[in-house]
Amino acid sequence: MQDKVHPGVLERLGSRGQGEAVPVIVTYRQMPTTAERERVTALAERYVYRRVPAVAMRVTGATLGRLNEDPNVISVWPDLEMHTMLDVSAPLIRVPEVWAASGRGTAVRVAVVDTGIDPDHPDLTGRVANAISFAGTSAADGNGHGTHVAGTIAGNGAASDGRYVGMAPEAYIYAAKVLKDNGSGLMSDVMAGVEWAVDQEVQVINLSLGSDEKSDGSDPLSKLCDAAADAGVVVCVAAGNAGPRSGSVGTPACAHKIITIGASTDDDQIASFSSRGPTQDGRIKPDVVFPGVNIVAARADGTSMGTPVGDHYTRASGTSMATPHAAGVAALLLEGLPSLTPEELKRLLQATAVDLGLDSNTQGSGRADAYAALTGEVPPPPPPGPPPEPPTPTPIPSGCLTLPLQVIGLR
Amino acid sequence: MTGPADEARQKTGDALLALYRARPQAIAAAIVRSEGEAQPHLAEVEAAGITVRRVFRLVPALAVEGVVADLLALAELQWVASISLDRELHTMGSCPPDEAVRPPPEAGDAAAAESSEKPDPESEQ
Repeated sequence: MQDKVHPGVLERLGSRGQGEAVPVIVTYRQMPTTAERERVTALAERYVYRRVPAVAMRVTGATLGRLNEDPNVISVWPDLEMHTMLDVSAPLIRVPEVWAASGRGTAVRVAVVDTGIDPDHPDLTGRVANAISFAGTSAADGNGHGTHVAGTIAGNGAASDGRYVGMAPEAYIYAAKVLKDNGSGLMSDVMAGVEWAVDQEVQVINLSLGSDEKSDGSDPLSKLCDAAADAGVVVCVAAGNAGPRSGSVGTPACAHKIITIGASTDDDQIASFSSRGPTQDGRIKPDVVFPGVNIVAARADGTSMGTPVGDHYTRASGTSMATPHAAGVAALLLEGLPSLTPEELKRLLQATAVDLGLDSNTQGSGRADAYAALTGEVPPPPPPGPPPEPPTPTPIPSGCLTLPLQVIGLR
Repeated sequence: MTGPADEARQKTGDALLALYRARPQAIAAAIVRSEGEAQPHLAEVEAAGITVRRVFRLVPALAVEGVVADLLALAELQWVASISLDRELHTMGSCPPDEAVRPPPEAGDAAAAESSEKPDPESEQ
């Protein structure tokens, strides 16, 4: 029953009891009559649409079989829960399809090693499992960056009636404050935060920080990040904001076993600030890109990083913002495919990324597609750009005769 | 054939070497990576007048602080694999979104300048 039925429908049916129904939307070649529909579906209908031949209904496994055999049925889609998203970034990388197919990152443990966290933000309340500071202060986020990152990973949209929802809105956050409220900190403090996160048995670590100084991945922090990956933790690291200069990926973005994240825009261009490879030892970086421009996410109380949006959110851009998209998607993938190793998850993201047609040291393997990574499918290509401008006709000098030419024999 | 001083120099990061040449008596923070576990060597490091700030386990290393000349002397020890300055890192957020893709407006293009979005405020490093 694979040809017409979306896998998400089968997943949902599989998780229900015998005879229970799931909501779907059925598209037809032409709208069947009421009698024709009744014969197949027993009319468990919610909406019959007028402008497209489609019907929203609830189906059991038996009904699904009859729909699949109906030559007038084109497809059966899951009737997905709709949310206005964190940005357009989530639907762009098909996160809602992942939610429908395998969940919202329930209980996956993600560490945010950053400027701290506002654990009382409505979007994060009750899901900050632990917090610690290596920056000489409390773990409170007096900068805003760490909370924005955490919201992009796991915000549930509670403060916006579901408008701004993070990638994995049911994941747990472990926050290590390693950067002071001015956004800077020592490499050794960051190393301490990463080591703490591994001790907390997190599954993913987000590092939206770094240095623009070139590296071959042999510096102590890069080596420690590689060790975290060896310990089974997926480590997502911002490529840096020193682009578009070639060779502008620094540390720990140059580490070997982490996933280096560049920033793309909502229309699948690469943000000019996104750092480019190669590394000092000639390796291609970034590994993959995620949306990182104009990202609206949780704002820590009392902070003004970015451009505030209402009382509880702020808009910001950077590879800092792209990286938590990756970390959140990693959490979703680990929920759906829990046996994935960090290396396998990295290869999956790369293998299923949308090729934007750019140099590898600009886009890595392309712009990630979360649903393609979950299912292993080849993602749809990005929408075509505008057609090229027609060439300006060259005025023909007077007195010349023009004839059509046919070039024969050349390819 | 390289001597002990050359070997020590090869273990030392360029920035730390440069600081040594400029200000050998300055106080600096550094990261020492060890061959094997670092914990057994704490007493030796502290006896050299160097403060140990952190001991790492995932990679065998110490975060230390001390006089640059004393830090460099650590590089001569057999168990020290490398020593480098403890660099400052920073967040990677709050880039001006209007420069994300489009180049800045041409000088004199008043309409474009008026319509371009203001960069995000520099509220963090």
